[in-house]
Amino acid sequence: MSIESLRSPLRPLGSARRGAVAALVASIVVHAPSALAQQRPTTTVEDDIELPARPSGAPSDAAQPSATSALAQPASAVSSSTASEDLLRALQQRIDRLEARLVQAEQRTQPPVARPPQAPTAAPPARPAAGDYTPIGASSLVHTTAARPDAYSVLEPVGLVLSGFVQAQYETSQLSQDQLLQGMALNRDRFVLRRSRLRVDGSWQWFAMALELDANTVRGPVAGVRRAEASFLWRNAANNAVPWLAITAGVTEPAFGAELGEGVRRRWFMERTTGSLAFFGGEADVGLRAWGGIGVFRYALGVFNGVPLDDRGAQTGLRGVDPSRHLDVSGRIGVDTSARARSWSVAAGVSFLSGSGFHAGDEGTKPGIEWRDNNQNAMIDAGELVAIAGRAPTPSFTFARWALNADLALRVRTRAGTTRVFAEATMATNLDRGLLAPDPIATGYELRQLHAVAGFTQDVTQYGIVGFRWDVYNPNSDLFEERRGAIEPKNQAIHTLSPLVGLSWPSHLRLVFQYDFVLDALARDARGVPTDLANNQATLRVQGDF
Amino acid sequence: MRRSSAALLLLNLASCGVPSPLGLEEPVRLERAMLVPSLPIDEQRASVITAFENPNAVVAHRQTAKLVTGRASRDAFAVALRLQNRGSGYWVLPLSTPDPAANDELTFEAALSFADAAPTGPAVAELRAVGADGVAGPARLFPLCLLGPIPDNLNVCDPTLAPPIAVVSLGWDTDVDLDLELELPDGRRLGAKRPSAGPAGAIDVDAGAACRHDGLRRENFVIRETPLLGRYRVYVSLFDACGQSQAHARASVHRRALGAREGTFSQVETARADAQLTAFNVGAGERGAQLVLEFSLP
Repeated sequence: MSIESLRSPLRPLGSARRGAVAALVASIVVHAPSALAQQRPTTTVEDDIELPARPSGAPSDAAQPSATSALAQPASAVSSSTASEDLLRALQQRIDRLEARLVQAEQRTQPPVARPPQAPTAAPPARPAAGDYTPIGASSLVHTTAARPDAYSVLEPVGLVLSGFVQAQYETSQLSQDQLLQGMALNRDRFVLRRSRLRVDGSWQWFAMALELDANTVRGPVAGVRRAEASFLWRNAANNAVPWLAITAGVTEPAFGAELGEGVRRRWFMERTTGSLAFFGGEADVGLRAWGGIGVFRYALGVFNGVPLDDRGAQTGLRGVDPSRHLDVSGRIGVDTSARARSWSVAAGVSFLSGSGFHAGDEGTKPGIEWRDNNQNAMIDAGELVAIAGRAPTPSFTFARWALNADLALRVRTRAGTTRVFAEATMATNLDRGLLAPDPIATGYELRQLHAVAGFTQDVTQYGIVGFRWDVYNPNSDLFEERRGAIEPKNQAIHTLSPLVGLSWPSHLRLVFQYDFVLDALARDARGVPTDLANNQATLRVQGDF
Repeated sequence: MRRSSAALLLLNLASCGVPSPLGLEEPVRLERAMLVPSLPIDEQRASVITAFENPNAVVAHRQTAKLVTGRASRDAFAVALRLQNRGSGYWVLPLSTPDPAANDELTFEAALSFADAAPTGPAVAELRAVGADGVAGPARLFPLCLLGPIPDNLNVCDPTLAPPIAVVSLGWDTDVDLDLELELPDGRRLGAKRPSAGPAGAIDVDAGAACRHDGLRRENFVIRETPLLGRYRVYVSLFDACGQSQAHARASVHRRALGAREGTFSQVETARADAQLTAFNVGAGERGAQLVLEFSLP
């Protein structure tokens, strides 16, 4: 009997599942001698799902006893049985196994339950149970899973797991202009393939690996490695637990803060915050990371090149090549109760980063001539030709950078759905690598950065979500400018308020709309005083997963 | 009530912010300045431009970093500049340091860049000081002469000045090393390697030579006063594609003409022809040059 033929009479019973199981028990007991006669007394988990509750030649499903009649049968059947107590125990064990397999089979055939969106937390997202892996094809060598691997590797020793997702979006911005600037298009009203990822995870008893490739069109078509990591694992014996120790090497996430390790597949908000993007242009860097957990405690410590790999593609410069031999060291310690509590959980931690930036030297110049049109008559007159002497090269230098971070995330499950509240703050010096890169070698002073983010998301059943995020980033807390001969403090803080609404077909499709109100002081009013620049933006994204 | 307040807040947030267009469509741009679409003006204001200096009123075609310096009264916050009756707003530039030699009046240094589409001919620039409340004071005007891409001996601004007898101009659209070549009535061939025919005229520049681009992408053969009479043939030669796949060129002939009033002149276009060149045309030398235009003098 296949599982489908077993399920079909059970399904109409609905909530009377226990009664159906009882009927199944009765059926097995009634035909137990025949089953034993077929020399199949033991059934392993790996066996094909076929319940030997009825011998070959048994009556068809139409002649099968109904649930009520089956419920009525066991007493008389058992009383009339002459089987020994050992046989009864064996049968009881077998019933238990069959019940477990029935539950597993139902999980595979039911639509996957919505996975709650991941709140920003550095702890590994809820990892799938072993039963969530579905073999692809008949070989069982490659699996897929409804609980998509994202920020961290698959840890259960299930072999290979294949997954991927696509994020396509239409975005519009008040900054958009049909012009070019420094060779770059200023048009921001466009369709973009933000991410398309294909990922292969491999996990065995002592080792794990992950390879994730990405292609996008943010700065033109570009493809690259988003993740390529190999891990040694010292597993925790407890099921579905974070390992005692994992050592991961390759292209992976630095251990810093919560937002960086959040995972782009689960995150509902379109991008990381302005400050996080300034600190880490991409989520991944090349390096080595040791991480794990003991109980609710989590730790991570890593050394990295200190040149995050931007998945949007580097615009200019060294394109992800680290010009300095100095490595960045980062780490995080914290707690995560998500594995223990059922209706609520807390994740919190503190992080640090210490590394070095790079001041590029000059390569030297040849002598030349420069024309300065002093009288602006567009002709070379006497005294307007200036000799430019050749210059010797200058050396490159490194400078120190550091950062401290604290993060907190709460998750509460209520009847309305899961509520997630998160907050994170970072204080840094010379860490900005994307928005306003400091160079204390050239300027003679260091830049202090401040970054904070807070927000929440609220599930609306399993098919909808609303959320809001506020973040502020100040790339230079000590900036002054001269206006009218006076030195005035200049506020460079950028506040972003981001409400979002989303729809979800659990585990397979998302439709999200986010509007970003950007409040800053990047424009000037009619008096020349800094004021808010019109640079709000909106994004509508479709995400498909497998 | 709460809903309407929230809606108003969202509306304010959505509409907040000052646009910051590049202003490339404007006839003139100011470096480090903001383009303000409209500016309240009070001609009786005390905030005034007290002094300014414009070293040269003549503006070359697409000239950049043309400096205009000056001072404004001590109560001013910024200066606003535009070309009178042209453009879509004022460029606002914050005032800088006080000048102790001028009663601590606040100084400014405006670097002007002129667009390709700026109308040629006489123009008037308008300078105003902006007070603390964002209201501009009275205007200070200064004249400019905006030249076009074709040499005309300032005829566009002063019709009594005679333009060259003829100008053969070649312009193109992409950053390639394109050369204007002419076959004179006496059979001589002029080009980048032999640009001058003495008093009979000369090619003014080798634009894009060695793929160093000047942004103008134009070469002119200027016949000032003593032309060779007869038939001229105009060729275009693609010396180096500079990595581009193709270029579109336009050759034109501009002749001196008598003006509407006595003693005045004008410059009129008498012939025009277009050509398209691809990277396959590179390196063919004189034999590969493409004949695009013929004309005769007188």
